[in-house]
Amino acid sequence: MNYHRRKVLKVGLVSLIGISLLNTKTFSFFKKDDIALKTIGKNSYLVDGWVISKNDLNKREFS
Amino acid sequence: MIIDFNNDSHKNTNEYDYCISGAGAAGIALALRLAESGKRVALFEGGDREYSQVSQDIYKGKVTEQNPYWLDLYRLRFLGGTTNHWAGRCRPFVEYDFEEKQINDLPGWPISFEEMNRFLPQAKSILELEEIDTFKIVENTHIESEYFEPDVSASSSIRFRDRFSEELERHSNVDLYLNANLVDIQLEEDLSTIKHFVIQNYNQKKQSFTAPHYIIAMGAIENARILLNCDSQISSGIGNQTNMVGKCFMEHLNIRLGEFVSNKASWGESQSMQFMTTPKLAKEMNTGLSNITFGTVRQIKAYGRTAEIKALFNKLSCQLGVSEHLQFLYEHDCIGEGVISTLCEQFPFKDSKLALIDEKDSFGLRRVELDWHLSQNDIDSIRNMSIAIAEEFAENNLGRVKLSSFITDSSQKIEISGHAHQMGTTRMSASEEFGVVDVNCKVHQTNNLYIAGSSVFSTGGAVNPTMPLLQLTYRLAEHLTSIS
Ligand SMILES: Cc1cc2nc3c(=O)[nH]c(=O)nc-3n(C[C@H](O)[C@H](O)[C@H](O)COP(=O)(O)OP(=O)(O)OC[C@H]3O[C@@H](n4cnc5c(N)ncnc54)[C@H](O)[C@@H]3O)c2cc1C
Repeated sequence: MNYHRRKVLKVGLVSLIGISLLNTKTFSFFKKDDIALKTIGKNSYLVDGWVISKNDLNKREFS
Repeated sequence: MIIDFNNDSHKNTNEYDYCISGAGAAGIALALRLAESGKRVALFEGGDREYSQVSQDIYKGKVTEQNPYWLDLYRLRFLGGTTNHWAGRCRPFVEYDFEEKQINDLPGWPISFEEMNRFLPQAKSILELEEIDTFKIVENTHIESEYFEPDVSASSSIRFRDRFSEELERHSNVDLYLNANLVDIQLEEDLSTIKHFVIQNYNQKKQSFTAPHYIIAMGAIENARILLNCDSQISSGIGNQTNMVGKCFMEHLNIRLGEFVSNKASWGESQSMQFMTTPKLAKEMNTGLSNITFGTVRQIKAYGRTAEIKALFNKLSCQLGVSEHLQFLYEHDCIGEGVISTLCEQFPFKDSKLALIDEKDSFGLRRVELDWHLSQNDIDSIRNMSIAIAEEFAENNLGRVKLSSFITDSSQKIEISGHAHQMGTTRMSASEEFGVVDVNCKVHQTNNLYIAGSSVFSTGGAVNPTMPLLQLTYRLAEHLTSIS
């Protein structure tokens, strides 16, 4: 394997891990257990100042 | 006829049926209506035809550190009054505003919604809105909710000076005195009947004017200020035996509730959506009524004198992608994102008040200090309403809202500003314990002194005040003509 191919593979692998990590993080962002969701209204939660509805959680729960 | 009180010697000072002080929206409407009924009216305007700094300076005062306010910028002191730069937005009171309620230990309106509404056609007519049967929904606003509905309004382009100067000039029953400042109100020995208005020009000339009936229509701050200043015969001031003059200062609260991102699918090309809270929300969550405006970057303040520069910044921001450099102007970067503002009811509250200070104006009248306070009921109202609208915004998939930290964190102080709608400082109440004027706008402890304007509002709802204050003005005209 020449230097360039090794570099491309390395970068690719690192990116892949990075993206997977990011994805897990993004997805779990909306999982009730993983982040601080504060109940704020009758049907809503507060996440970092943003108000999201219960529906938002249902739509985006990936398990 | 229009008389310049600075130059001309005036006519007989006791020839009038009514003396009205203040030629803004309320004073002009009242003078013309009374004159139509064949009565002789003297209308005294403290300013001239045009703006002058000497007159405007009389509006200066102090404001406590409680909340910021601009006493001299939020009003204009010349013929036509503050309508010389009002925005013309009109929205009527709703039935709920007149339901019996007790807020901060104070009663609400002592008159009915039907009674108020009886005068809506006349108020619409002077504002040239008679063609409008129903107030229009702000374009493209939609929401499905029990707690919020699309807001409605109409816009008047009437400026009272420009529209009525000619009519005032030629009306044989009205004498409009310019540069004629009400500086004192003298009482008869019974201390309840007004004897005369003392009117002063800018050259120190004073004259007393006599009539059976007197009306002050000088805006909500000045109406209270003159009553408090007239303390030579009654030490607490006229109409202030129960200490209510200047109390219950109310504004419409302009609060930056937060920011939002819009869902393009629901918004299309809309630049703003405006909602009103419903009485159901008010009752269930103890809130006041409120307009809530979601404005995108294109819409926000992109009008008036600064429109051009705003448009340029908008272009730079959205098309050239330099938004981050323009954070000082827009705290969000492109169309589709924006801020949420309000025109929110403030409940009457005695601690929110005007009081005289030692500093005096050029006529030797003491200036006022405004101590603008929110009650705990207001604070709860604002927080409950904010959370509810953010929730409904998400539920309706209109976008998502990020609430300001002072909304979500109850330890922080809610930042407020006003809409230049001063109200409540001589509030209407059936009993003098809770107000300054009675149901006919007559000052409780007097026989013949009346008040016109938003200072008589018992509660302020979420209505722009001018149209309703004109409704009350026409109601006052009907009362005055019926008793004389
Ligand atoms: C920027 C701005 C925008 C606004 N937009 C809206 C809107 O869209 N819709 C709405 O409903 N309202 C709006 N308002 C409020 C509106 O202008 C007032 O509700 C209205 O002008 C009040 O009418 P008024 O006759 O009671 O008082 P004013 O119009 O203030 O008139 C009072 C008059 O009394 C005179 N006066 C004062 N002191 C004395 C004295 N001692 N002797 C003799 N004369 C005296 C003054 O010179 C003045 O002419 C706005 C206000 C501002 C500042």
